[in-house]
Amino acid sequence: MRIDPKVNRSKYDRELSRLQERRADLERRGVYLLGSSAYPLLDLLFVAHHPLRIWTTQLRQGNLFLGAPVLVAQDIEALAPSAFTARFDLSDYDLEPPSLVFLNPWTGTPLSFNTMFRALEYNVGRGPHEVLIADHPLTHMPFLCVRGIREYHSHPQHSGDEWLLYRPSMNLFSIILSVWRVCVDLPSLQCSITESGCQFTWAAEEKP
Amino acid sequence: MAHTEQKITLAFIINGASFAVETNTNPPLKEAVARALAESGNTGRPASEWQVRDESGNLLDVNRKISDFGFLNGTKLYLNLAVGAGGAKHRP
Repeated sequence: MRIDPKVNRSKYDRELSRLQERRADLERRGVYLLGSSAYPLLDLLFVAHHPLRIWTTQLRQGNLFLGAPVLVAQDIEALAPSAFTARFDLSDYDLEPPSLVFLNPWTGTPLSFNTMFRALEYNVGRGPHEVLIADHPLTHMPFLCVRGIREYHSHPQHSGDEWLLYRPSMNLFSIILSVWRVCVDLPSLQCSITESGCQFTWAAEEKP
Repeated sequence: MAHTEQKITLAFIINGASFAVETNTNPPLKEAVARALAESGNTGRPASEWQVRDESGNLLDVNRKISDFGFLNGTKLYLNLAVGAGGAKHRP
């Protein structure tokens, strides 16, 4: 650790205190502070917001046969992507931004990129883009390519976009809101059922 | 006859701290945003990098008049830097 442990602990306590003060704001978004949090780690459970959307081809409406197949969507409220634990590591905070890993909330083990949710951001000019990246060159784990996350700023492709440029204007609460946006608010899981089977994809709500 | 302007207090949540800004409802929202950023000491990043969202995460157009939004007194607005993401084009 590069900074005084007492200073680091003080900053951790301040961030934890702020999250506790804003507990209602977080819980309204399906984000819950977990009891497993212990210095220097803060664990939060993120619960999916959007149910699974199933697309099928409709050939008739009641007794009326349609001239051409119509694509119909139905939200299955009882099915939604799995909740996940976001573990923030505040070692060396806030000289360094918090590190973030995604865990299975049942087992505490890291999620595998191949089977975990997808994180998407949407910008008007850029459109939807994937911000959960499979493999970080240093950690070799899935990481969130979002400003304010240590793995973003430590990635060689973002050298120059230093955390210290943003540190005065960000803290863990605001970073959690960004994580919520790209991991919960925007992405939705879709299933298309066709003659050849089911295809699952992730879509981003076009919400600037 | 004098025109009476309505006043409203908006609660800007910036990095988890709340900053109350009392404002008339006629000016654009960006004026209240600028005051909230100044009061909170967040002057390091350009105003264009900050985004105002409502409780549901909807982005608000700061160039619109405050009266256009129908805010109630004490409405909470979340002021955050834009997400600022890297990543790759999404191919479903």
